[in-house]
Amino acid sequence: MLALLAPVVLIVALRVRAARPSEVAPALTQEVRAGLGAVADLDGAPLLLPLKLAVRVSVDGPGGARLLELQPEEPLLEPDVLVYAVSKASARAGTTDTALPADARLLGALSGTLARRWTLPADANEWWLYSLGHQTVLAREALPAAGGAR
Amino acid sequence: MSVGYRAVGWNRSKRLYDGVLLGATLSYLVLFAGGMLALYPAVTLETAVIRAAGSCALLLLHVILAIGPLCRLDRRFLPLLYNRRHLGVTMFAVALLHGGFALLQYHALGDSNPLVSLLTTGGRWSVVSEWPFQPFGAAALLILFLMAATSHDFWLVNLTAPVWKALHMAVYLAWWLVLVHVGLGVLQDEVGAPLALVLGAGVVLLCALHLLAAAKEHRVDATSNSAATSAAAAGQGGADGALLDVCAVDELREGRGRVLNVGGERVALFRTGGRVAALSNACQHQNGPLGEGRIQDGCIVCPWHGYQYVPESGRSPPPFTEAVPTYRVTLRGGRVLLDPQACAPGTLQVLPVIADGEATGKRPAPDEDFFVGYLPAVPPRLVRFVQRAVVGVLLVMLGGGALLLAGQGPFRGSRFEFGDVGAWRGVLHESPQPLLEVRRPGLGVTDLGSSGPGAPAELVSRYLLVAPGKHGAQALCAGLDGQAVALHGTLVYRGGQVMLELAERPVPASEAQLGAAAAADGALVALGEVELVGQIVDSKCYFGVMNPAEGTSHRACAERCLSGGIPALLRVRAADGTELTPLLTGRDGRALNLQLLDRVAVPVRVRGALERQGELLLLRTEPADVVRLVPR
Repeated sequence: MLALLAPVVLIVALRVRAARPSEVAPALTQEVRAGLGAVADLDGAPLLLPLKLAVRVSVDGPGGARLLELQPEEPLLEPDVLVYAVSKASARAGTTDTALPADARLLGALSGTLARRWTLPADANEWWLYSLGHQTVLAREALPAAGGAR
Repeated sequence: MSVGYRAVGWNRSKRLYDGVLLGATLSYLVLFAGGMLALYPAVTLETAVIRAAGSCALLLLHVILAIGPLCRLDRRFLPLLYNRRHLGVTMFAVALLHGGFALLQYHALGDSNPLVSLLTTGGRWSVVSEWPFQPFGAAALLILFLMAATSHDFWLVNLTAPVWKALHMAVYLAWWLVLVHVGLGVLQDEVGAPLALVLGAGVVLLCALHLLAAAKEHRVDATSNSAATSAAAAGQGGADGALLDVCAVDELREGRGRVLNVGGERVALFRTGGRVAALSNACQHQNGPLGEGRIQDGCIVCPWHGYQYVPESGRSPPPFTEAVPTYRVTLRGGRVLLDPQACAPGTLQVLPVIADGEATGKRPAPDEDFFVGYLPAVPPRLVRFVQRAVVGVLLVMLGGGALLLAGQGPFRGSRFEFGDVGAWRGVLHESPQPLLEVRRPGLGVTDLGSSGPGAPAELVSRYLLVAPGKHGAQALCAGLDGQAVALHGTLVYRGGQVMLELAERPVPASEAQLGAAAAADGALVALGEVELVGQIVDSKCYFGVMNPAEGTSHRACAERCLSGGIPALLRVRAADGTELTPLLTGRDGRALNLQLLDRVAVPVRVRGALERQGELLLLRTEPADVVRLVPR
């Protein structure tokens, strides 16, 4: 009896089960993301770093200023990842791999996989990633030439 | 027990059975949990253990339930049945591991007794698809506990065989409860097919085995019943009238039995020492089929667990007291005549002797397939069969486990640095939820929007604060709003969001120690009225204490956390996988936790005013604007 009942009940249950509504609302999310100051699309073929981060530098800023665009390909599993611009002189001035130069310029934070864009100081030669949660430098890279993607 | 009064102790067969069982079970648990941690690095250890134990218990339960019908189809599976209780107790232990970890993870350390929480959270009884799944698992575990606790023969004797058997037949109810538990739980969140496939295959396999076994027994019953009935109708009962002609004497083999269906009752007919005996076919121990047994040491031996009965009386040899009904038998003209009226259990019968002229009897074939667990050696042919059967079971477990392992996830990156307590300084704010503003090092420049003018970079990071367990930090932070503090806490983080689990109440610190932090209070940026679709989650689990921390399987825990004051988030996921997790508060900034408990972990549409403060998003709304999307 049970042997006959079990498959029938399961099949009926699967057939009458209502589909769960989708939780995804792309249009609304795009709208909100735009409000967050995120960049929706990055043109150019990004070169992935070990951190799976797409990097692009352009001269589209005010007055031809350089812009740095970053987009993680996957969420960085580090607490509170901050982005800094560093001049070559500062970078050479006795810093270690775990400490920021005193005059490192804070650009902003990375969050999830949202693309972000910042104006670069004129003398910036490198961009650094720093985890405030772990108080350690995650990466330091020379800035690519304007218009290039890395 | 046996007629030799040997207590059934640990012999080689039993040790081997248990060794293989424990080795296979532990290997499965280690391989599955290790596989989860290797394949899905973001998953927490607790989740890996819960899923390893849950899947192991599920597969073991199906193996246990398959052994019965397999033995009815082919008696060579009987060695697997002999110690099935060990398998059952092991399965219960693994299920207890699953249930214990789940109770600890989802219900403990909160604002309610875990057992009360188990029965009062996790869904709504008014909607079938939202029935809480955990009480079904708990009910199944309770049945399995009763079965494991009464598995020893001590309980069989004291409860009496019918009560004991009825209790242990509840394993099928437990199986149903487990199916509902899985179906209403993790199966609702699984995006892949493996779990549904394994569950479906298990149901189909068990049902098919039971149907095949029932069909086989029906054929045997129908054959013996029709033979007896037709013989009676033909008047072969002779002068005794009520006697049924059930078979020819030479159809019985010396030392063997035969099962007859007489008027709906199964009777075991034995030829022993040139005489014929008839007893009820149901062993007093567990209703084992006595007619499939053998004569050993002058007693009928049940094939299931070796219980013995004297052929003349149906009584177990002293000091044992079991007794089964016996039947009056006579022989005439080479035929066996049976009185279908059963005598009281233990009634002594005079067994008719087979005369030389009546039948010679078939010479019994070598008995290579009969084995009872207390015998010292297993027949070699049976050993080979059992070895192949055990390898088959292990392969099924391995295949099922691999399929289930491959179907796990997805698990998104998050982390709880449990046990790693760090020191922090910053400015504490109590509203909208307790948080710490931490000074970012370096000099600030400009943060550009996608199209608008640049805004100054935020000079502080904001870390939500929570207390240990499933508790908010409101009590620990009371009276410290706006103050510079020093605190000790553990990091919890996911996708750019950071939280600190406080180890103790923060203590006031001098602002000089914070540098410019106190002056770096970022402004709230209004992003306008929005309508977002997503799922309400508790921030602590979602940021990394548990993974996964959303959906049906986590619903009870999320309710417990929100009830305890953990900040509520709306998890919004875009088609490209990008997530937003605004903090949910009332329009006036009050916490909405308790008013949203019935809408946790289900799709909701929320209308409200979105604000941004640095990386922190805030969605101000009201309970009336949080609408469930689950179909009713």
